[in-house]
Amino acid sequence: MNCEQAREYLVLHQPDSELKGTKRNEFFKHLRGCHSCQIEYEGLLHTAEVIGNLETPQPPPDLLTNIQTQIREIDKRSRTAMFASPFSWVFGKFKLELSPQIVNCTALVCYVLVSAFLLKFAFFTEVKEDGPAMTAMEESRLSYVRIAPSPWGSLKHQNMKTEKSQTITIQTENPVSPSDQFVGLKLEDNWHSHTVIEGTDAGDGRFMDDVRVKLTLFWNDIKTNL
Amino acid sequence: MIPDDVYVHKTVEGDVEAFNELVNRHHSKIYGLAYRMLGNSEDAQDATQETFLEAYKSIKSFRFQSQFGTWLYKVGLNTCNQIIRKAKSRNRMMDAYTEEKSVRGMTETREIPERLAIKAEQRELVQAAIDRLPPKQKEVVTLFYMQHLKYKEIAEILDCSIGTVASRLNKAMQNLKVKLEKHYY
Repeated sequence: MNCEQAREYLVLHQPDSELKGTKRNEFFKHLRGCHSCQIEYEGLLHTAEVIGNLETPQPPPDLLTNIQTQIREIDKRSRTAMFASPFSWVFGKFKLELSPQIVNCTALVCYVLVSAFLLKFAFFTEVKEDGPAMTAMEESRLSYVRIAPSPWGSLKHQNMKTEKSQTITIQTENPVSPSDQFVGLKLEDNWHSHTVIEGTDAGDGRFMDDVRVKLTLFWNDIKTNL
Repeated sequence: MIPDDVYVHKTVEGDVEAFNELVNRHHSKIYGLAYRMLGNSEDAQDATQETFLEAYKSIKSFRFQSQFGTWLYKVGLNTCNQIIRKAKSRNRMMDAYTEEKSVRGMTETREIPERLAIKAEQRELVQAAIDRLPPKQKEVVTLFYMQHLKYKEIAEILDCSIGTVASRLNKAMQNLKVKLEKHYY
Protein backbone atom coordinates (compact mmCIF):
# COMPACT_ATOMS: atom_id res chain seq x y z
CA MET A 1 0.00 0.00 0.00
CA ASN A 2 1.46 3.41 -0.97
CA CYS A 3 0.79 6.83 0.60
CA GLU A 4 -1.96 7.73 -1.89
CA GLN A 5 -3.89 4.54 -1.16
CA ALA A 6 -3.25 4.87 2.58
CA ARG A 7 -4.67 8.44 2.62
CA GLU A 8 -8.09 6.99 1.69
CA TYR A 9 -8.13 5.16 4.99
CA LEU A 10 -6.29 7.88 6.90
CA VAL A 11 -9.38 8.96 8.71
CA LEU A 12 -10.52 8.68 12.28
CA HIS A 13 -14.04 7.60 11.57
CA GLN A 14 -14.89 4.36 9.87
CA PRO A 15 -18.31 2.81 9.50
CA ASP A 16 -18.28 -0.67 11.00
CA SER A 17 -18.19 -2.45 7.65
CA GLU A 18 -15.03 -0.78 6.32
CA LEU A 19 -11.32 -1.29 6.89
CA LYS A 20 -11.39 -4.84 8.14
CA GLY A 21 -9.18 -7.84 7.58
CA THR A 22 -6.32 -7.64 5.08
CA LYS A 23 -6.76 -3.95 4.19
CA ARG A 24 -6.62 -2.98 7.81
CA ASN A 25 -3.36 -4.86 8.29
CA GLU A 26 -1.89 -3.31 5.14
CA PHE A 27 -2.88 0.17 6.26
CA PHE A 28 -1.23 -0.12 9.69
CA LYS A 29 1.84 -1.73 8.15
CA HIS A 30 2.19 1.32 5.85
CA LEU A 31 1.56 3.72 8.72
CA ARG A 32 4.37 2.19 10.80
CA GLY A 33 6.82 2.70 7.98
CA CYS A 34 5.72 6.13 6.58
CA HIS A 35 6.72 9.23 8.53
CA SER A 36 4.54 11.73 6.60
CA CYS A 37 1.41 9.58 7.02
CA GLN A 38 2.21 9.23 10.72
CA ILE A 39 2.35 13.05 11.08
CA GLU A 40 -0.93 13.39 9.21
CA TYR A 41 -2.60 10.76 11.37
CA GLU A 42 -1.25 12.21 14.61
CA GLY A 43 -2.50 15.64 13.53
CA LEU A 44 -6.01 14.28 13.17
CA LEU A 45 -5.78 12.52 16.53
CA HIS A 46 -4.59 15.72 18.18
CA THR A 47 -7.43 17.74 16.63
CA ALA A 48 -9.94 15.19 17.91
CA GLU A 49 -8.35 15.39 21.36
CA VAL A 50 -8.50 19.19 21.43
CA ILE A 51 -12.16 19.22 20.41
CA GLY A 52 -13.02 16.41 22.80
CA ASN A 53 -11.38 18.30 25.69
CA LEU A 54 -13.54 21.39 25.23
CA GLU A 55 -15.39 22.26 28.39
CA THR A 56 -19.12 21.71 28.26
CA PRO A 57 -20.76 25.13 28.47
CA GLN A 58 -22.91 25.45 31.57
CA PRO A 59 -26.36 27.02 31.20
CA PRO A 60 -27.12 30.15 33.24
CA PRO A 61 -28.85 29.30 36.54
CA ASP A 62 -32.12 31.07 35.68
CA LEU A 63 -32.56 29.30 32.33
CA LEU A 64 -34.18 26.23 33.86
CA THR A 65 -36.65 28.33 35.92
CA ASN A 66 -37.54 30.44 32.89
CA ILE A 67 -38.29 27.42 30.74
CA GLN A 68 -40.35 25.72 33.45
CA THR A 69 -42.36 28.90 34.04
CA GLN A 70 -43.09 29.22 30.34
CA ILE A 71 -44.17 25.59 30.14
CA ARG A 72 -46.59 26.15 33.05
CA GLU A 73 -47.96 29.23 31.28
CA ILE A 74 -48.58 27.27 28.09
CA ASP A 75 -50.29 24.53 30.07
CA LYS A 76 -52.55 27.07 31.77
CA ARG A 77 -53.47 28.56 28.40
CA SER A 78 -54.16 25.19 26.86
CA ARG A 79 -56.58 24.37 29.69
CA THR A 80 -58.71 27.36 28.71
CA ALA A 81 -58.37 26.49 25.02
CA MET A 82 -61.84 24.94 24.99
CA PHE A 83 -63.35 28.39 25.37
CA ALA A 84 -60.89 30.16 23.09
CA SER A 85 -60.87 27.61 20.35
CA PRO A 86 -63.61 25.00 20.76
CA PHE A 87 -63.03 23.33 17.43
CA SER A 88 -59.37 22.60 17.96
CA TRP A 89 -60.28 21.40 21.46
CA VAL A 90 -62.88 18.99 20.05
CA PHE A 91 -60.48 17.68 17.39
CA GLY A 92 -57.82 17.30 20.06
CA LYS A 93 -60.19 15.24 22.21
CA PHE A 94 -60.68 12.83 19.29
CA LYS A 95 -56.89 12.77 18.79
CA LEU A 96 -57.26 14.17 15.28
CA GLU A 97 -54.03 15.98 14.51
CA LEU A 98 -55.40 18.30 11.87
CA SER A 99 -53.55 21.29 10.60
CA PRO A 100 -54.64 24.66 12.01
CA GLN A 101 -55.84 25.70 8.55
CA ILE A 102 -58.32 22.82 8.38
CA VAL A 103 -59.54 23.50 11.92
CA ASN A 104 -60.01 27.19 11.13
CA CYS A 105 -61.84 26.45 7.87
CA THR A 106 -64.19 24.00 9.62
CA ALA A 107 -64.88 26.52 12.36
CA LEU A 108 -65.54 29.27 9.83
CA VAL A 109 -67.98 27.13 7.82
CA CYS A 110 -69.86 26.12 10.97
CA TYR A 111 -70.05 29.69 12.26
CA VAL A 112 -71.35 30.93 8.88
CA LEU A 113 -74.00 28.18 8.74
CA VAL A 114 -75.21 28.85 12.28
CA SER A 115 -75.23 32.62 11.72
CA ALA A 116 -77.19 32.23 8.47
CA PHE A 117 -79.75 30.01 10.18
CA LEU A 118 -80.19 32.44 13.07
CA LEU A 119 -80.48 35.42 10.72
CA LYS A 120 -83.07 33.67 8.63
CA PHE A 121 -85.00 32.62 11.70
CA ALA A 122 -84.93 36.09 13.23
CA PHE A 123 -85.62 38.32 10.24
CA PHE A 124 -86.80 36.41 7.21
CA THR A 125 -89.48 34.09 8.55
CA GLU A 126 -92.85 34.92 6.94
CA VAL A 127 -95.62 35.40 9.45
CA LYS A 128 -98.77 33.93 8.04
CA GLU A 129 -101.57 36.38 8.65
CA ASP A 130 -105.23 35.54 8.82
CA GLY A 131 -106.30 36.64 5.42
CA PRO A 132 -109.73 37.02 3.94
CA ALA A 133 -109.42 33.52 2.59
CA MET A 134 -110.21 32.09 6.02
CA THR A 135 -113.87 31.51 6.03
CA ALA A 136 -116.21 31.55 8.97
CA MET A 137 -116.54 27.79 8.66
CA GLU A 138 -112.83 27.28 9.04
CA GLU A 139 -112.69 29.63 11.99
CA SER A 140 -115.44 27.76 13.78
CA ARG A 141 -113.80 24.43 12.97
CA LEU A 142 -110.44 25.61 14.30
CA SER A 143 -112.04 26.86 17.45
CA TYR A 144 -112.61 23.22 18.43
CA VAL A 145 -108.92 22.75 18.76
CA ARG A 146 -107.26 23.83 21.98
CA ILE A 147 -103.64 23.72 22.78
CA ALA A 148 -103.04 21.73 25.90
CA PRO A 149 -100.05 23.19 27.72
CA SER A 150 -100.02 20.59 30.45
CA PRO A 151 -97.96 17.42 30.28
CA TRP A 152 -100.98 15.32 31.11
CA GLY A 153 -102.85 16.77 28.14
CA SER A 154 -102.44 13.66 26.04
CA LEU A 155 -103.84 11.52 28.85
CA LYS A 156 -106.81 13.82 29.14
CA HIS A 157 -107.31 13.63 25.43
CA GLN A 158 -107.57 9.85 25.56
CA ASN A 159 -110.13 10.02 28.33
CA MET A 160 -112.14 12.57 26.44
CA LYS A 161 -112.00 10.43 23.36
CA THR A 162 -113.70 7.56 25.11
CA GLU A 163 -116.32 9.74 26.75
CA LYS A 164 -117.10 11.58 23.54
CA SER A 165 -117.52 8.37 21.62
CA GLN A 166 -120.15 7.28 24.09
CA THR A 167 -121.81 10.65 23.96
CA ILE A 168 -122.01 10.59 20.22
CA THR A 169 -123.61 7.19 20.33
CA ILE A 170 -126.36 8.51 22.54
CA GLN A 171 -126.80 11.49 20.32
CA THR A 172 -127.27 9.23 17.35
CA GLU A 173 -130.21 7.59 19.12
CA ASN A 174 -131.75 10.95 20.07
CA PRO A 175 -130.96 13.30 17.22
CA VAL A 176 -130.61 16.96 18.03
CA SER A 177 -130.20 19.96 15.80
CA PRO A 178 -126.68 20.74 14.46
CA SER A 179 -126.57 23.98 16.40
CA ASP A 180 -127.27 22.14 19.66
CA GLN A 181 -124.44 19.75 18.92
CA PHE A 182 -122.20 22.71 18.24
CA VAL A 183 -123.13 24.37 21.54
CA GLY A 184 -122.82 21.11 23.42
CA LEU A 185 -119.36 20.53 22.11
CA LYS A 186 -118.31 24.03 22.97
CA LEU A 187 -119.47 23.69 26.55
CA GLU A 188 -117.63 20.45 27.17
CA ASP A 189 -114.56 21.66 25.43
CA ASN A 190 -112.02 22.34 28.18
CA TRP A 191 -108.98 20.47 26.90
CA HIS A 192 -109.03 18.80 23.53
CA SER A 193 -112.54 19.45 22.49
CA HIS A 194 -112.34 17.68 19.15
CA THR A 195 -113.77 14.21 19.29
CA VAL A 196 -112.39 11.51 17.15
CA ILE A 197 -115.16 9.28 15.98
CA GLU A 198 -113.80 6.20 14.36
CA GLY A 199 -115.45 5.20 11.16
CA THR A 200 -116.84 8.67 10.37
CA ASP A 201 -115.71 11.20 7.79
CA ALA A 202 -114.32 13.42 10.57
CA GLY A 203 -111.33 11.13 10.92
CA ASP A 204 -107.80 11.49 12.29
CA GLY A 205 -106.37 13.06 9.15
CA ARG A 206 -108.63 16.05 9.23
CA PHE A 207 -108.09 16.47 12.96
CA MET A 208 -104.33 16.43 12.49
CA ASP A 209 -104.62 19.03 9.72
CA ASP A 210 -106.61 21.23 12.04
CA VAL A 211 -104.06 20.85 14.79
CA ARG A 212 -101.21 21.66 12.43
CA VAL A 213 -102.89 24.85 11.19
CA LYS A 214 -103.78 25.84 14.73
CA LEU A 215 -100.24 25.27 15.95
CA THR A 216 -98.84 27.34 13.10
CA LEU A 217 -101.13 30.22 13.96
CA PHE A 218 -100.30 29.86 17.65
CA TRP A 219 -96.57 29.92 16.90
CA ASN A 220 -96.95 32.92 14.61
CA ASP A 221 -98.79 34.75 17.38
CA ILE A 222 -95.95 34.07 19.77
CA LYS A 223 -93.35 35.33 17.31
CA THR A 224 -95.37 38.45 16.52
CA ASN A 225 -95.80 39.25 20.20
CA LEU A 226 -92.10 38.72 20.85
CA MET B 1 -33.87 6.41 38.16
CA ILE B 2 -37.25 6.64 36.50
CA PRO B 3 -36.92 6.40 32.68
CA ASP B 4 -37.79 9.37 30.49
CA ASP B 5 -40.59 7.45 28.80
CA VAL B 6 -42.59 7.37 32.03
CA TYR B 7 -42.46 11.15 32.24
CA VAL B 8 -43.37 11.43 28.56
CA HIS B 9 -46.49 9.30 29.18
CA LYS B 10 -47.41 11.45 32.18
CA THR B 11 -46.93 14.62 30.11
CA VAL B 12 -49.21 13.30 27.38
CA GLU B 13 -51.82 12.60 30.07
CA GLY B 14 -51.62 16.26 31.12
CA ASP B 15 -49.07 16.33 33.93
CA VAL B 16 -47.07 19.50 33.28
CA GLU B 17 -44.66 18.85 36.16
CA ALA B 18 -43.60 15.59 34.51
CA PHE B 19 -42.41 17.56 31.51
CA ASN B 20 -40.63 20.02 33.79
CA GLU B 21 -38.71 17.06 35.19
CA LEU B 22 -37.63 16.22 31.62
CA VAL B 23 -36.56 19.85 31.19
CA ASN B 24 -34.53 19.54 34.36
CA ARG B 25 -32.79 16.41 33.05
CA HIS B 26 -31.99 17.55 29.53
CA HIS B 27 -31.63 21.34 29.53
CA SER B 28 -27.85 21.27 30.05
CA LYS B 29 -27.29 18.98 27.07
CA ILE B 30 -29.55 21.01 24.81
CA TYR B 31 -27.90 24.24 25.94
CA GLY B 32 -24.47 22.71 25.18
CA LEU B 33 -25.61 21.68 21.72
CA ALA B 34 -27.11 25.10 21.03
CA TYR B 35 -24.01 26.88 22.31
CA ARG B 36 -21.73 24.88 19.99
CA MET B 37 -24.07 25.33 17.04
CA LEU B 38 -24.71 29.05 17.50
CA GLY B 39 -21.49 30.17 19.14
CA ASN B 40 -22.86 32.50 21.81
CA SER B 41 -24.76 32.28 25.07
CA GLU B 42 -27.72 34.55 24.22
CA ASP B 43 -28.71 32.64 21.10
CA ALA B 44 -28.07 29.36 22.89
CA GLN B 45 -30.49 30.33 25.67
CA ASP B 46 -33.16 31.33 23.16
CA ALA B 47 -32.65 28.11 21.23
CA THR B 48 -32.90 26.01 24.40
CA GLN B 49 -36.16 27.67 25.40
CA GLU B 50 -37.57 27.31 21.91
CA THR B 51 -36.56 23.66 21.81
CA PHE B 52 -38.40 22.76 25.00
CA LEU B 53 -41.49 24.79 24.12
CA GLU B 54 -41.63 23.10 20.72
CA ALA B 55 -41.06 19.68 22.32
CA TYR B 56 -43.90 20.31 24.80
CA LYS B 57 -46.30 21.32 22.04
CA SER B 58 -45.48 18.35 19.84
CA ILE B 59 -44.85 15.69 22.47
CA LYS B 60 -47.86 13.72 21.24
CA SER B 61 -45.95 13.11 18.01
CA PHE B 62 -43.19 11.28 19.92
CA ARG B 63 -43.69 7.60 19.01
CA PHE B 64 -41.26 5.95 21.48
CA GLN B 65 -39.27 4.49 18.56
CA SER B 66 -36.12 6.21 19.82
CA GLN B 67 -34.86 7.60 23.11
CA PHE B 68 -36.59 10.79 24.24
CA GLY B 69 -33.15 12.44 24.42
CA THR B 70 -32.44 11.59 20.78
CA TRP B 71 -35.80 13.03 19.72
CA LEU B 72 -35.07 16.14 21.77
CA TYR B 73 -31.70 16.56 20.05
CA LYS B 74 -33.51 16.43 16.72
CA VAL B 75 -35.90 19.18 17.82
CA GLY B 76 -32.94 21.16 19.18
CA LEU B 77 -30.97 20.89 15.95
CA ASN B 78 -33.98 22.00 13.90
CA THR B 79 -34.40 25.00 16.19
CA CYS B 80 -30.71 25.92 15.90
CA ASN B 81 -30.83 25.61 12.12
CA GLN B 82 -33.88 27.88 12.02
CA ILE B 83 -32.03 30.49 14.11
CA ILE B 84 -28.98 30.23 11.83
CA ARG B 85 -31.17 30.66 8.74
CA LYS B 86 -32.90 33.69 10.28
CA ALA B 87 -29.54 35.21 11.22
CA LYS B 88 -28.26 34.68 7.69
CA SER B 89 -31.28 36.33 6.13
CA ARG B 90 -31.01 39.18 8.66
CA ASN B 91 -27.38 39.66 7.69
CA ARG B 92 -28.32 39.67 4.03
CA MET B 93 -30.90 42.37 4.73
CA MET B 94 -28.33 44.39 6.65
CA ASP B 95 -25.88 44.03 3.77
CA ALA B 96 -28.43 45.47 1.42
CA TYR B 97 -28.46 48.69 3.42
CA THR B 98 -24.77 49.03 4.14
CA GLU B 99 -21.66 49.00 2.03
CA GLU B 100 -20.63 45.41 1.98
CA LYS B 101 -16.91 45.93 1.59
CA SER B 102 -16.47 48.37 4.43
CA VAL B 103 -18.49 46.22 6.82
CA ARG B 104 -16.49 43.13 5.98
CA GLY B 105 -13.23 45.00 6.35
CA MET B 106 -14.23 46.28 9.76
CA THR B 107 -15.32 42.91 11.10
CA GLU B 108 -12.18 41.17 9.85
CA THR B 109 -9.78 43.72 11.29
CA ARG B 110 -11.71 43.63 14.56
CA GLU B 111 -11.78 39.85 14.71
CA ILE B 112 -8.10 39.17 14.08
CA PRO B 113 -6.65 41.16 17.02
CA GLU B 114 -9.35 39.75 19.28
CA ARG B 115 -8.50 36.24 18.24
CA LEU B 116 -4.80 36.97 18.66
CA ALA B 117 -5.39 38.47 22.08
CA ILE B 118 -7.16 35.34 23.28
CA LYS B 119 -4.81 32.99 21.49
CA ALA B 120 -4.09 31.23 24.74
CA GLU B 121 -7.71 30.41 25.23
CA GLN B 122 -8.12 27.14 23.49
CA ARG B 123 -11.85 27.16 23.92
CA GLU B 124 -12.38 30.31 21.92
CA LEU B 125 -10.13 29.20 19.09
CA VAL B 126 -11.74 25.82 18.71
CA GLN B 127 -15.21 27.29 18.92
CA ALA B 128 -14.30 29.79 16.21
CA ALA B 129 -12.98 26.97 14.04
CA ILE B 130 -16.18 24.98 14.58
CA ASP B 131 -18.28 28.06 13.76
CA ARG B 132 -16.62 28.27 10.37
CA LEU B 133 -17.43 24.68 9.44
CA PRO B 134 -20.24 23.98 6.96
CA PRO B 135 -23.52 23.40 8.86
CA LYS B 136 -23.74 19.64 8.26
CA GLN B 137 -20.16 19.09 9.44
CA LYS B 138 -20.78 21.31 12.43
CA GLU B 139 -23.77 19.17 13.40
CA VAL B 140 -21.86 15.88 13.37
CA VAL B 141 -18.82 17.29 15.19
CA THR B 142 -21.02 18.78 17.90
CA LEU B 143 -23.05 15.62 18.34
CA PHE B 144 -20.07 13.25 18.27
CA TYR B 145 -17.34 15.12 20.13
CA MET B 146 -19.33 17.39 22.43
CA GLN B 147 -22.49 15.46 23.09
CA HIS B 148 -20.71 12.10 22.90
CA LEU B 149 -23.43 10.38 20.88
CA LYS B 150 -22.86 7.19 18.90
CA TYR B 151 -22.91 6.96 15.10
CA LYS B 152 -26.28 5.22 15.21
CA GLU B 153 -27.86 7.94 17.35
CA ILE B 154 -26.42 10.69 15.16
CA ALA B 155 -27.70 8.92 12.04
CA GLU B 156 -31.17 8.77 13.65
CA ILE B 157 -31.12 12.44 14.55
CA LEU B 158 -29.90 13.56 11.13
CA ASP B 159 -31.96 11.04 9.15
CA CYS B 160 -28.96 9.69 7.26
CA SER B 161 -26.83 6.54 7.12
CA ILE B 162 -23.97 5.68 9.49
CA GLY B 163 -21.59 5.87 6.52
CA THR B 164 -22.68 9.44 5.84
CA VAL B 165 -22.07 10.35 9.48
CA ALA B 166 -18.53 8.91 9.35
CA SER B 167 -17.80 10.61 6.05
CA ARG B 168 -18.99 14.01 7.33
CA LEU B 169 -16.94 13.55 10.50
CA ASN B 170 -13.79 12.82 8.49
CA LYS B 171 -14.28 15.89 6.31
CA ALA B 172 -14.96 18.01 9.38
CA MET B 173 -11.82 16.74 11.11
CA GLN B 174 -9.70 17.50 8.05
CA ASN B 175 -11.14 21.03 7.94
CA LEU B 176 -10.60 21.58 11.64
CA LYS B 177 -7.06 20.26 11.47
CA VAL B 178 -6.24 22.79 8.73
CA LYS B 179 -7.87 25.61 10.71
CA LEU B 180 -6.23 24.75 14.02
CA GLU B 181 -2.80 23.54 12.99
CA LYS B 182 -1.23 27.01 12.87
CA HIS B 183 -2.09 27.39 16.56
CA TYR B 184 -1.34 23.91 17.80
CA TYR B 185 1.26 22.22 15.67
